[in-house]
Amino acid sequence: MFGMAQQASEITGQMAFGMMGAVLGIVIVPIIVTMQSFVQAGIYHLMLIILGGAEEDFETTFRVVAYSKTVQLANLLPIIGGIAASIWEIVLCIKGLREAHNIENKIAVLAVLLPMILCCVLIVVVAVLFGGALLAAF
Amino acid sequence: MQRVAASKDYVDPIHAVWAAIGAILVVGTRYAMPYLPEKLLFCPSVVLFGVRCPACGAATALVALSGGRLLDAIAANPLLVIGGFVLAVWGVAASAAYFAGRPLKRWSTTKGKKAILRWGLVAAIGANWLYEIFVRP
Repeated sequence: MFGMAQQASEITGQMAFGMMGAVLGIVIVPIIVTMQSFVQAGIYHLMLIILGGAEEDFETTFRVVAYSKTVQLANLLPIIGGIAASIWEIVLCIKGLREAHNIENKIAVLAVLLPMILCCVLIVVVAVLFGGALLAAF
Repeated sequence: MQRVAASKDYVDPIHAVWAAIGAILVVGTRYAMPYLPEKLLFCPSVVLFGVRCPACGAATALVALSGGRLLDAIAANPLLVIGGFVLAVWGVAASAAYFAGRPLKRWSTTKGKKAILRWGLVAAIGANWLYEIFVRP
């Protein structure tokens, strides 16, 4: 009897903790995603400047990155959704930068893929620091 | 507060967000650190190829900054810390000037200035990378 009460109490505690995590997530995740989009757009724009393809301003690059994030809705599909969304987001970024900045395809491809080849660390740093902390905390 | 019509000749006030991102990252790292396993702070480039990438030391610099150790942060990745600080100050100045009704004029408007900016960035990133590979202990 005592064991059952303790088990019920533990389950209630876990549910409360999970609910708290979900509520905090609703507040924190949009901030992290916005920051990540900004840093991502900053890196792409830096690459466009270096490659001579920054025909428009930073806001244009940010808009392309923000629009391309909509494919993350595919994450609703289990297992394959996340992978498909990541690949499709890269494709959309390339197409978007090409059209928005009115540049050649190869410059758009290089602007998106070069930072990933050289170092994806800046993006990973944000994801790892905050994602890791969130996972560890909840 | 007077708003100025957006123009390609002026610096966009959106760049003030860089300062906010920098502040959130530094403060966030201070509070997130106790929850992080040490093994998470690694560079895929070092693990896979044994060579530091241009952004290596970013996490170390962030952790040092969050602890108030500025010199350690600069030693970990000079370009990220100094460049980030300059970017943040420039962003805030651009935003303040914009809302004061005197927006900053864009500097790199001609082909020559664009080339200076481009090669300056290449030189800065290259120098930082060489520092990461050969100088940083």
